[in-house]
Amino acid sequence: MKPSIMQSAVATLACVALPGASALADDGSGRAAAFQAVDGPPTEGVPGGALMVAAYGFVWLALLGWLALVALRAARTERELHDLHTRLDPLLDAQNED
Amino acid sequence: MAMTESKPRTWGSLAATVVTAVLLCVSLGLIFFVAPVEAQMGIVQKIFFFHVPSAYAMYIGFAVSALGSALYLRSSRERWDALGVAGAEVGFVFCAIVLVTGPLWARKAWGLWWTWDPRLTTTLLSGLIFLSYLSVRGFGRPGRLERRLSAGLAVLGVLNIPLIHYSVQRWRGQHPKVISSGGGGIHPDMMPALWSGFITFTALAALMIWVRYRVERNSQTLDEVALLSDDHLTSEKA
Repeated sequence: MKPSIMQSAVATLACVALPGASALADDGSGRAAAFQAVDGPPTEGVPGGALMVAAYGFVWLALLGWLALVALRAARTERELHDLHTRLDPLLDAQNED
Repeated sequence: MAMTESKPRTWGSLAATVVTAVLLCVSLGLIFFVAPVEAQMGIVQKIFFFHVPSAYAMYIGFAVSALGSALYLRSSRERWDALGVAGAEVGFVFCAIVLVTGPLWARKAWGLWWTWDPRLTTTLLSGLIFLSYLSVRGFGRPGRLERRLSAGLAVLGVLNIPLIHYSVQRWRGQHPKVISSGGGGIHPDMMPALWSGFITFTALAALMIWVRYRVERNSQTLDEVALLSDDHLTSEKA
């Protein structure tokens, strides 16, 4: 049976999650080993606003993505129900005629 | 066989959706227009108002999944299995939100994306356990063995939740304990946004679990009917 979008997403996430987490983990090699003076006025090295927007964007993406997957599953159930009706209706009609 | 919802149930679902949407709008308003910007971290601290409620919604999802799974293991009734699936999926969605929004905040607050802090590690562990739950059931229609195996995973997985919650109090780590016991607390003007987040995400988790439960029950009912019709058609041909 062909895997659904949800199944593919779950499998992809599993392949990415652990290696990704290990890759992103801090091993200490990038930390500063000496103190240096700021050249010019102090600026924000890490853009907090962009990170916040990315975080809220991901929340919406996750919730809407889940909703889309559930809607697809519900639509598939409806289609299968329709197919079942198509198969059963002639049989039921024949029984009723008998 | 009731494949479509009755009118009272439909109106109930619609009302719940509207209420949750209103709560979400109120929450966003409180976060961005009432809660002040934090002095040290700046605007990135606003992630807190979704990150923490998402964690509680994750607890709700995983707890519901474990409850449904335990009842399924005891009674083998499909409705409990459907509840287990709904809770696991919703819990996993919120776990993903926690594990993404947390590092985005950590990048600014701690200067790094990830560390093997007790709370982060135990949360990742929960995510992987319930990902396994979904994976076991993910390839085709799950049979009795897959359902019982995944139910066992959910029951074991829920035991990790107290570890996640109390890890910041018991063990040293990077993760702060702002609102839990021993934490530094938050500004009073931030409390409405935080409590609004808790209420909103609890309502959202409940709604999502209900919707997913109904879809799973419809799917299970369809499977039963399809099986019965196959048997019937086979016997007719014979």
